Amino acid sequence: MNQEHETAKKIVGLLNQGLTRLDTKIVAKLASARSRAVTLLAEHEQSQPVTVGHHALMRQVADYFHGHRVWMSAALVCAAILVAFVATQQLSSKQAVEQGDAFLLASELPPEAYLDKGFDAWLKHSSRH
Amino acid sequence: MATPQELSDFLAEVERRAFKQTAYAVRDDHAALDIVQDAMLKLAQSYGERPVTEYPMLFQRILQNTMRDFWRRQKVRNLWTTLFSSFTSNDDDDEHDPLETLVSANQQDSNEPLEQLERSQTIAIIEQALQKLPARQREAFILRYWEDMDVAETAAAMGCSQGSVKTHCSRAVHALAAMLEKQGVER
Repeated sequence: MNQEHETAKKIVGLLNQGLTRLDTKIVAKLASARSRAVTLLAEHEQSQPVTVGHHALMRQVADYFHGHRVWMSAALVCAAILVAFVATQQLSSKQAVEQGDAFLLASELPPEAYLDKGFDAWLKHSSRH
Repeated sequence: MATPQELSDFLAEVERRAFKQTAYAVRDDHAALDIVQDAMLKLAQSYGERPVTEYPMLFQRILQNTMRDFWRRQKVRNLWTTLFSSFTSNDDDDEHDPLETLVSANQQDSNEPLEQLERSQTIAIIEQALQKLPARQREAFILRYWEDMDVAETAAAMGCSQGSVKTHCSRAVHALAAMLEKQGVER
């Protein structure tokens, strides 16, 4: 293992020597590419405003949402479905109650009420009061 | 976040090795230059906000991915253009002689003393041997020993287990040593 490491180091030493003999055109092109990359980073830095205080917090929140956008989208869809379901339930139950009240107020007594002797007794009793 | 100066220093340190590493893999200096340049720009554009300590690993990943993109494009191009392309992705049946480019790269030393000439020849032999290694072995050797990454970092950069890295490195060193001995170069 040690001998293997030593051999590798010797080979790497020679490879490093080879680097100093690179064609000057290649070296110049590499330097030019490096310069472009550095310029790009500098431009990127300038285009981004410094984030402090609540801006930083907002950015963190935005980053969190961006990072978990799949889960956030699924949660939003589920929330929308839940809200729609609850709203529908509320509206339909309210309508049913309203319809029931209207029916009771508008309609006459059902025939079963007249056949019920107990109902008669109750009606007389309650009308005396 | 890394400053432009830190990025510049980092790239200045790794650019030559990255070029050579890419040139061994793609066997085309122009393509290697393009790949390294793309990798530099991608690092600055997409990972500029990362700390400079993460750059070696990130840059290696970007370089490997850019090389893969190059091979994909080359494969498609080869299908549609000609069978006699100078580039093939297979290491074994490649008729291109990498020594030609290495010799031209080292022509500037032709008037140097004998010792330097011998050294240049040894370097050329090593580079040729590196090019002949299987891609994964070469990658492991370069990352582990030339880029001085530890086994875990090399495994992460290559997307394989640490055991595989050790195996690849061991085989690479033995293969290189054997080739050097065969060429009569002292270890």
